[in-house]
Amino acid sequence: MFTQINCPNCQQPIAINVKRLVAGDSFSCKGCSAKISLAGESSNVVTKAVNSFEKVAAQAKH
Amino acid sequence: MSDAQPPLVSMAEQFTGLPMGDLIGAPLLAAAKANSAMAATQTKFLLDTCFAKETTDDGKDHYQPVLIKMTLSRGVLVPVDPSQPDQEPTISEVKTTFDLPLLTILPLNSLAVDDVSIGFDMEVKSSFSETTNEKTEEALSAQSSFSAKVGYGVFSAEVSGSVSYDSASSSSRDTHYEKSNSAQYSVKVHAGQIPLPQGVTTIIQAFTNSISPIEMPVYGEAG
Repeated sequence: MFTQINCPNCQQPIAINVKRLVAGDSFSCKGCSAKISLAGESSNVVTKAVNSFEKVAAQAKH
Repeated sequence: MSDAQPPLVSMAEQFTGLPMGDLIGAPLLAAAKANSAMAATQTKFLLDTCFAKETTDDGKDHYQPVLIKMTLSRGVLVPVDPSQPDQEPTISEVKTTFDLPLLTILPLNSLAVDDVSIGFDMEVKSSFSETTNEKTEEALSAQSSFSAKVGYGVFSAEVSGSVSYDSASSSSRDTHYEKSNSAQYSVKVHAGQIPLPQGVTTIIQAFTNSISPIEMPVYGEAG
């Protein structure tokens, strides 16, 4: 599950694997080398959203 | 070659009766319906998961985007204190926390029929072929021989001979007649995923832009 957001520092797009983001990985910006990661306090919210999204995607395939 | 040859198939007639609307339109319509259903599911998912619904006093629903906290880490060059010339500049890591709408990190546009290809090929061939072969052979052969013996006193003579005659003639005629026609009807329909609607893209872009840090004026420079 890939998405991308713009770097808050230099506006370059940063490719993000959402599942790995939830797992605690950080992603580097190719423009300014800044690293973004998910704050621990939002981990549960994103995990629930990702699980819900995967259910919807699975239903869509069938 | 016979005089009355069977007629070839009319190509136009073969293609006229095809239910092209069903052959091509039906699968395309099914894909469009599936896409529409997924769009509805996507909208419901968006509103249920990515927005928090609040009902105001006047009974109207108000959707507030769910924000998640992200951490930005980057190196900052710490300048050297001018009063300490021997000190070397250092790079320290600074962490900044910012809010990001949950909506922006979910790949919403993946919930769609991304590719539909319908291929329909029809080929009609009609041919007629006739081969005639005529062959005539004639052979004539004749052979005769003779011998004669004559004797007169102590003399004698013998004569012998033979005559042969061979004649052969042949004629052959091959006639090949062929006629054919063919037609091919090929239809290719491609439907690809269109990008997110401009309105959704604008909203996501606005959310994305909102996470950009705003540079505060340095104290003393303002006003």
